[in-house]
Amino acid sequence: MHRRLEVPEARPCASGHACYTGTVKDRDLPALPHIWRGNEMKPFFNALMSVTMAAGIEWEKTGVNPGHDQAALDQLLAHLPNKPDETLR
Amino acid sequence: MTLIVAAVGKESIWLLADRRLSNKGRALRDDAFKILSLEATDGAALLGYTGLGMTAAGTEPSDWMCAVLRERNLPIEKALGTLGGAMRHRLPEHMGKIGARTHTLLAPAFVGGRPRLYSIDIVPDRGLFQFRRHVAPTKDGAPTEHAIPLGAGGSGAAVLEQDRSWRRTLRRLVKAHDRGSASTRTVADISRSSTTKFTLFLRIRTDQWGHDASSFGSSGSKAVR
Repeated sequence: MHRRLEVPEARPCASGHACYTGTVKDRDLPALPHIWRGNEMKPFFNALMSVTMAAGIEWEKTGVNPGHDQAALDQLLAHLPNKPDETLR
Repeated sequence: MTLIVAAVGKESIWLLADRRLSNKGRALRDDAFKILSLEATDGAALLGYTGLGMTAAGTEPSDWMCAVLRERNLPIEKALGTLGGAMRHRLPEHMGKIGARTHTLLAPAFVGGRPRLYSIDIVPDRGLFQFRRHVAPTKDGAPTEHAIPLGAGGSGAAVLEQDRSWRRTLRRLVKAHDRGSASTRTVADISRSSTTKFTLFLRIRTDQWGHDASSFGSSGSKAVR
């Protein structure tokens, strides 16, 4: 049992954001909070990025592509909250 | 000073928000996100706010709003209503702690493919809570179904009111963008502030809302639908 994201291949998606400092567009584009049909996407992308980055570092170190670590991703996703929480701390 | 500006076109919605967190006039950080995007069963909305930028414990309302809406697959207006209810009950206590007197949320949206502009205002000192949909009036003052094209909030809105020429410029640009004669980048470059950090969010209209959620598939009780 793990979280899974399924998106239709032809799903129309036309949105974007940009950050500016003064009159200059920032080079980095941090992920913004995003809810898609009740799914909180930022933690999902952060988990995906964490696993991907770890694989990239390993690849750089050893020269061998370690591939996608689904087990590590599943473990991270399993710990994501999955209920609404109105508590404001 | 804080500022949000929402622009609503026929084919696109825009939201601009500053990134500064301050307390009693003192700048604390310039990397907050006072903005989030929401995709629902019947459309999409961009949510931006001024007022409480961060609780005393360090929680940003944008993250909290995501937690409130988590696992609630609601239509746009119901999602905003749910959020408004949570804001009404939870925000005043935290606003009091940091001395924020008002909290305003602006939400340009497409609902069923139609552009809309909503706002939620909370002023605890006056017991005020308002969840409104803003529609343009006819010449004789009667309300229409059309959304007003621009909205602004925060202390910066008062500054903008002193020179309203920006309104026409921005409206023309958004219209030009929707006609295809101005690029997204052009609107972004014109809309930005000249002094501080800003985030600008764009959503382009699509008529593909209203998919049956089941067609997106799911797997197990913890599946992301």
